[in-house]
Amino acid sequence: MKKHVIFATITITAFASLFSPATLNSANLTSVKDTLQTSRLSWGARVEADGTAEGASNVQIQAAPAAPLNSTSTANLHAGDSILINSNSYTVVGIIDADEFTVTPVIVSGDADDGDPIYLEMKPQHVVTFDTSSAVADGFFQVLIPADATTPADGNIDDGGFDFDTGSIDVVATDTGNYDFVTGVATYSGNTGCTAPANYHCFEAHYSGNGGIGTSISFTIGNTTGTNSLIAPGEASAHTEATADTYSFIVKNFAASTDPNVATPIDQTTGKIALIEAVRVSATVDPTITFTIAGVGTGTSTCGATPDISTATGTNAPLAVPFGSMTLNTFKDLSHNLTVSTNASGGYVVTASEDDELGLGGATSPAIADTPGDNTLASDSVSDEWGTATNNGFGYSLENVDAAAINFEYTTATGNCTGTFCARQFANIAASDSPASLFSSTTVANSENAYVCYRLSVGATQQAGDYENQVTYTATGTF
Amino acid sequence: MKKLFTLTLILLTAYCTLHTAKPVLAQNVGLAISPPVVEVLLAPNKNIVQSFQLTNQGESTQFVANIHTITPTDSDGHSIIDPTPIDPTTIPLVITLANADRELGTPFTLSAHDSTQLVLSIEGASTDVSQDVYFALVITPTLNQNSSSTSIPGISSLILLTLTPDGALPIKLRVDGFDLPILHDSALPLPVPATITNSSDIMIRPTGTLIIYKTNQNISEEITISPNLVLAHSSRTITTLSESLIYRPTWYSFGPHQFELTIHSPGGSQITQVTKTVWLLPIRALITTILIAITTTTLLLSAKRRSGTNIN
Repeated sequence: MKKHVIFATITITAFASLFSPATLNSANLTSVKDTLQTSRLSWGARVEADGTAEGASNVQIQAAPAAPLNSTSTANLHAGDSILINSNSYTVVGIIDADEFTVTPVIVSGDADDGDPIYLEMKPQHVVTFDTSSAVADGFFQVLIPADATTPADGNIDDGGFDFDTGSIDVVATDTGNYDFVTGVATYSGNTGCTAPANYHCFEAHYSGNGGIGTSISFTIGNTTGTNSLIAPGEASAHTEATADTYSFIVKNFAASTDPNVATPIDQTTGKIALIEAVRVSATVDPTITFTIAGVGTGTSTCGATPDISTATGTNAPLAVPFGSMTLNTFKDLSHNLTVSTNASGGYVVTASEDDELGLGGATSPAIADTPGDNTLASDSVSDEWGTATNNGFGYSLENVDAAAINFEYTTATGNCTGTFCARQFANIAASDSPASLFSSTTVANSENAYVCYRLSVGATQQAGDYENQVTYTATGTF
Repeated sequence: MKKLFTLTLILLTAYCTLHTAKPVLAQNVGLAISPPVVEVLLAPNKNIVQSFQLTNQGESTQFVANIHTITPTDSDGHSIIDPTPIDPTTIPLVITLANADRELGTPFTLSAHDSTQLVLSIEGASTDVSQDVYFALVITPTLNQNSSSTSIPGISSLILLTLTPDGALPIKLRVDGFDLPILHDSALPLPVPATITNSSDIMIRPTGTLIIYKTNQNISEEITISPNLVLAHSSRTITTLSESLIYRPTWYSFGPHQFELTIHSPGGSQITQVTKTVWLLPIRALITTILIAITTTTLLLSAKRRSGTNIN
């Protein structure tokens, strides 16, 4: 009987305990993560005076780490990075090897001494997101970001956590559901209100509203521009290159009017942040310039008309300009398509010149003179309208397709040119003319092209025979 | 018999096609060279070699390489090449092709879509004075002459060389044409014209910044100037890295603004600084507002007069 009483008492007690479970003080916030704008470690090293000199651009770093600047390799440094040596700013121009790089401007006085600190400060924005697990009315969230134990807020790179910098840090939580946030507050590790746990910076966002269960909260610390943002840690003292340094961050949800330094949070979850060197991707693209002459068929309109003869077919095509048999006092038109590409930052220029006027059998005389134009004003630098075939001669005009700049076009009405067919003479080398610029660019160019439209007309007094000359087009890079 | 006839017919047909082959036509002739521009700093009696990669993008043909002098033609970095190959006695350099099988001025064959390397050897003459020499390696195809005019594509690579015995390069730069209006509408972009003139015998690649201050010395904008090369005794238009030098004020940028243009040497030393003041005012907005005010006032007065007339 006694045994039965004891057994029944135990059973009833155990059953009764199910109706009054103990209060659970801390549950887990779920889906907790801190997304960094960049997971790149800051970089901190020290100057090696043997390979660094005032007035030079070369910088050598020391081979042994000296905390908190533990970097002994240039692996995390890239061309274009803005760095500080002491308090002077420099831009990294190139990486020479594992312990040397170059900067601009040159090293100033006082920055080439052994042990001078070199800083590359990464200031990523933190976006902390999580889902609530309790509905806590009018409470607040606290995010704790790991800080260095010794100098957590001196504005320099630390090797034990994020540095608070010397100013303020922006904290913004986004209103959602039953959470109406006010502007967040940031306090650096060890400052009033941020003493426990030790070695964490504190970021709080208070809200009004009843809260909710399963509500997604987004909490940003710092800015994408790097202003009012935490400085990412440099390499930890026991860092292994290409292996991430990991840090723990904590997210807590407190009830209203509680002191987060001593109170127990309603919900709390710890997450991890991993930082690692950036991968330096490099490739070399050699500068080059490409120049092409293509023939133009009789079906393509150039300079306002279709050519009479194709330069795309026939003997020596496309380089020949085969006017063939001429009818007296009648124009004949032919065209070429000139194309230039260059990846040189300065661009290009295409010039043209003829070795001489069209000479009989290639001789100097007799010759078909270069065009005078309708107003006898045409030259290698001045355009003249040329629409009257009895004004005999050889000349050219241009039609821009997509060149960045062109010297003139057949439609460029200027001076005595009305813009129907503005023609010029080719620069004549035999007459000591300088080659004339046709078209150009002052930057990179992808297949920029223009049509050169040749025109010839001969008069009744022109001696019979085969006339020829040579026109040279030269593509030149811009310095 | 029938088989023999068929075979003969096939062979004849095949033979005939050999005589009616369509001519292969070159659609274009193209050349490429890398690098297109080379800058060289050379000491007297020293020798350097520079390789150039030449690519024939057309049919197999013969090419010839020559050295020509160049002349700057404008302030945008463009130049023209003297059509006649250089007279080697006129420059303080000895220039040769270091390729075992090629010489300057001698044709060489390059197959279709093939590349070759031209190695230029440049030796500086003995000199006590720093001086620049600008020339170009020009490659042109050699064509079979016939009774027709021809056009020849030439490709070139500029070689801009400073010959200096001690590396001490004089710098004589000044800013010209930095002319800004006294008044400017804040709603419109303001082009900032300026050129750098190099009066020395040596080319230089200066850097610089254009800083626009408001009167309280707050920096409104800082524009980095492109480090363009300025050849000896020539000028170069100042540009930014991507375009002409243009300041785009915000619509609320009113009052006097100081435009401070500073030019530095490649080493970072300040060479020259010029400052201009421009008053930015919402001129168009003011005119529009005044016109609207006058029109409104006129309409109101007119309406008032009509109202008074009706009452009478």
